[in-house]
Amino acid sequence: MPALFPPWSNTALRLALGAGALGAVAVPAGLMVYVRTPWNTGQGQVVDQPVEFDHRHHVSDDHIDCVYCHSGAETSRFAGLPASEVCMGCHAQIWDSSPLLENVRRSYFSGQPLPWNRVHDLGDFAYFDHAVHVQRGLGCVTCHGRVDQMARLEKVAPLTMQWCLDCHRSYENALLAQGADSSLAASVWLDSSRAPPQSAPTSESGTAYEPMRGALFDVHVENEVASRGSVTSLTTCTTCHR
Amino acid sequence: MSEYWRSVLQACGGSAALGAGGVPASAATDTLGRRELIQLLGGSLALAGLGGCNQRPREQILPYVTSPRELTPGLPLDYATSMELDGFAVGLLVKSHEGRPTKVEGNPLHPASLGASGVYEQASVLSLYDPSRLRGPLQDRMPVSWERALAALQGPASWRPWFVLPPQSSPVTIAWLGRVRERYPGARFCFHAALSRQAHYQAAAAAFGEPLEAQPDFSASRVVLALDSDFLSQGPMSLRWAREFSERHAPRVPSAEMNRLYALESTLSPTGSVADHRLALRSTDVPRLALWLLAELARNDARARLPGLSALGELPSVEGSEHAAWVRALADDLLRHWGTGLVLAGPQQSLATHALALALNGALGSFGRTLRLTAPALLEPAGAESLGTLRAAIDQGEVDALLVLDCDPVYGSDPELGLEAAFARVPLTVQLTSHSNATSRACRWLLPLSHYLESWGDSRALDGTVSQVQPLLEPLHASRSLLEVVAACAGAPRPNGHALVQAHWRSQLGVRSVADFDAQWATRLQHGLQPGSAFPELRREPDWGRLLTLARTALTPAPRDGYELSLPVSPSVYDGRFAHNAWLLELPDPITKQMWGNALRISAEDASRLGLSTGSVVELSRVGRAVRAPVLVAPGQAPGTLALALGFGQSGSGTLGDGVGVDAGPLRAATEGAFLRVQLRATSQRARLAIRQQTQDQQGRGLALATSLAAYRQDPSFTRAARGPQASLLPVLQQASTGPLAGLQWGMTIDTTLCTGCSACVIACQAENNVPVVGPREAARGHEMHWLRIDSYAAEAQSPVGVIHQPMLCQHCEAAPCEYVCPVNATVHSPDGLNEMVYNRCIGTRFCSNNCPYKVRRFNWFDYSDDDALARLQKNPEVTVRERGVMEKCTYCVQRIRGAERQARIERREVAPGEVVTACQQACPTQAIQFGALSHGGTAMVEWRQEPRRYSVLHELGTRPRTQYLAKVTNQNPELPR
Repeated sequence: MPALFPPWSNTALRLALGAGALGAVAVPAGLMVYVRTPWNTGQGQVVDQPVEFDHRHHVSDDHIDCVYCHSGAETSRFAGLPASEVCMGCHAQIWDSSPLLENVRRSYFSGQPLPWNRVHDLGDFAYFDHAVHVQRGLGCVTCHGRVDQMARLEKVAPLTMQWCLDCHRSYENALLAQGADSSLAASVWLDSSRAPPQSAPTSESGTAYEPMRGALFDVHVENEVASRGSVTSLTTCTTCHR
Repeated sequence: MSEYWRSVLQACGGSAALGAGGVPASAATDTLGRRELIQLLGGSLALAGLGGCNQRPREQILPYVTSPRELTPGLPLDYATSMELDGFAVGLLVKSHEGRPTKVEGNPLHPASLGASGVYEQASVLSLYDPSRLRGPLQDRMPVSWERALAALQGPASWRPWFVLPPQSSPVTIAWLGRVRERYPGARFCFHAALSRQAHYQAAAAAFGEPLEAQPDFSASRVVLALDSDFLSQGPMSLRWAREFSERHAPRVPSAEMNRLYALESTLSPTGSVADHRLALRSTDVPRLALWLLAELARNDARARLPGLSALGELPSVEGSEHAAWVRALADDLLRHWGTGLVLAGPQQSLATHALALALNGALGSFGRTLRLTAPALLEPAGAESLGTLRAAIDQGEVDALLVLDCDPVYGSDPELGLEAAFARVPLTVQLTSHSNATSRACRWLLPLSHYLESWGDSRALDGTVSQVQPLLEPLHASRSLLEVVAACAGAPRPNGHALVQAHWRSQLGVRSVADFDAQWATRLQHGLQPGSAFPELRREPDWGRLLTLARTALTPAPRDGYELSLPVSPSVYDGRFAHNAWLLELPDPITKQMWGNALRISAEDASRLGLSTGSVVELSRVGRAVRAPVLVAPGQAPGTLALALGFGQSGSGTLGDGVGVDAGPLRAATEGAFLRVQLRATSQRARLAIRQQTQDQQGRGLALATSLAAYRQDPSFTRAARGPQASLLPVLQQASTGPLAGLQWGMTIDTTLCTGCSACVIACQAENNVPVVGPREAARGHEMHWLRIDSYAAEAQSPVGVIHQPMLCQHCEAAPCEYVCPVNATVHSPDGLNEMVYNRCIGTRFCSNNCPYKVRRFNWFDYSDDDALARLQKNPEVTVRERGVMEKCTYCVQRIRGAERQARIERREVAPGEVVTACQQACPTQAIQFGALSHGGTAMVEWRQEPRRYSVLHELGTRPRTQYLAKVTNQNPELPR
């Protein structure tokens, strides 16, 4: 009886089995790696917004405090975005006909909110509370990066669960890795003339940035390790998943 | 990959062919071919792994344009308001997230609530967002404007409008009704309520010359007799009465004194299930028994011999009747506690019973001690016009307009009255209602009614406290409140609720300056009530003779032919007004555990004699009219009696309640009162009922323990087999729960002596935790999602019925069997003792539920969460909304625990005792559920665990639950058998 299969079909089968075995490992592993890369986390990706709001001008030049606009950061789970009337508080008087502010004016007078594109977003199954982080001394820059040097906002932290847990398991290591000086006390940043820390911190993805002047950058240690109120005790699931 | 996705849909015939929860419709009907099945399997396998991998579409943030001053997004606000039911208010605190009400709690300052809330109050927040609400005025089913509608409500001075509305206690509304009467001297008012208290007031009018309110004071009473009265779970002050009664009912130490409750009723109610002694008898026999009791009291004690007793002539003696021993023991007990007794009559009982209840109270010295007389809160409490006089007036052509405001007189009314046909003969018929119902069919104008959470107004509690009603949001639809419509009828040009209420109180409060009023007003809004507005106690000399003439009908025994059918209001949908509310439709009945509908409750004796079982369909007939209903063999039902709850069997309303259950209305007769004599005939049909708890039998497992007070005193540690340490290879506490990082250890203690089965906790949990509703088909399969259920067991070795209600929820076992079987570690143990459920890890193997001995884990078999745009507004944003394929269970309200811890961290302090209150604990009227940290000594949760009657359910399994129970103790009269 003539052979049903050509001789190379043995090799083909072995290659296929090998590829299948390799794929069974490589494909899930590859996917798991992929979701942690900036292609998926959006880290470093600059986001377009309906209004060309430049933080460099408002923060570095005009020294407007973070909490002036993002007023929920100290009291609520959402830091929030400013209402259009907050923008108009200044911009009804200065740059009141600028074409860059056309959308803001339209929003204020029509009653329609400005549709900002969200840069920092966690899944709906994860609960994050700004107030408890800010009130316990965590500065805005620690997670949001040097916003005062961003033209358009980009996400500098991956906001993966691993990244959050790094701090919750050992905040000293996490913050020192970011270049924080643990002796600086946390306070609402009002004055830019305070000396910045010496070393240049890097974000997790490796982007180097200059430390922001002043605080909103650091955690005061407050003898937290031994106390019940330490962040390192907050690694149970329902801290964030309720 | 997108090709596969499209082809799955194509295979199913497009997205429209996907049924509920994403299940292909063809899969549900079993017409799937083999090839189709393999295609679907392959497609879904390919999709399964990739569902979570795509980057999410970018969300937007929409901040305010002008931010409200009082509101910080993310921080909820509590507003004080009140909910009125049949004229009486219960004060509430409603939590609002970003301007939308999400959760109702009781107002601790309000006398009718004391911080608790009932089933109707908890579920009311869902009614606000009901998509089947009327959204705009309709004339002959065509949308019109409110201007047109209000213009139609005007007439000349000779106009004779008839108003049908619920009993009114609101001072503002009553003032405006007065103005309506001034404007139209021919106006007539009919106050219609399903659970009318008119008999109570009529009896009081006979005794005191005016219809006074008799307010019971349970804190002073030691013996309570409930004559067909479900005072612990139904009624305007039931939350307060339940609390006051319970405070003296549970023995905190074996030597403590307990009060005693006797209940007489035909159908087992929550009050009857708590009663120490219950006599099941026909409701029409209750007056006679009350008369026997009065006679027995008079015979044995001079203090009980009322002056007007001669009005009844020769008093009947209880000797020779089957209830003789019962009545004698009851009389002895009441006389032993002369001055601390209390007799209550249920609202549906006859005038004779109410008269006898007042007389019994007088004979027992209750007035001024346990019973206080006050002015009534209602307008015309003894009744103005009735539906009968309305019908007669329509026949005479004396009704120019019929305005039915916020009630449904046609549903459940006597078919002889023929209201629907009669209404059609009235020139102008207007109904102000939130949902279309039976009356809507007969009315030409339908005006949408604002929900109380959208309305300004006020109301009174039973004790007279003026309760503020303030809205939490602008009306969602084009609706008006009852007050605004009444004001429009009285001629107010553009009635606005806020302006009306303020204008009224500005004149009433008699303040000198605007600033003074504003300050008083602000305080009033903050507290939700007018301080000091409760009615003062009145002293009156009763005219016993005149009162007891009303009781003459009790001299003759009631006829015993046929079965006695009673129509109690449903503990879930009340009189039908909540039949659109999904939470209430799915709420298991406190006694029968039936969901989604009503069934004819029949006694076990009658059922076995007729060869019926639960689900058999029978035909009830009366005077040529017949109704078919499925039967439910109910515990504690008196032989010869039947019960069919009101509120079901509605049709054509366009709401969820259409077609659910049976309407007993066709059997009604206004002349026969609340208890009908019917004939019963078995049919060969059967119906499938959705019953959550199939049996009351504990099957010898000692799940719910109970004893009598005497036995408890003899052997306080009788629960020893169900608690205490066990030999085990496992460490005493999970490792994470010890050490400095462990934190507060949470636990819960539930006292089953206090639980009445009212199920307020079930709805509270559903509202707080976004627990979905599954619908009647899924509920019948046992897929209901309630995280907290109330299991009701017959006490072992006791008869005839001793019911123990046991709220069952996740026990948060220290050695949880569910945790070590999860393949993906979706359920873990927290350092503070909680069994945590992480929804996003769960892959739905259901092994955890398999291993749970308490069966408290609920699985999302389909996509049950309500995607309706309005219904989403009710969801609590602090709790994840679960998707299909995920297990869920009670979390000890972990969002509240973490919220308190967060607040404590911000304020650099520890969490205080009593700071964390779970939703179930907060709602419970009797405070049977106590939650807290094990280290907070002095709190009820910890103190109760020290009591000798503490036990764990299924203790022998070694799960070491953090939820502990206290066994039920009944205060039995040694002279009476159980």
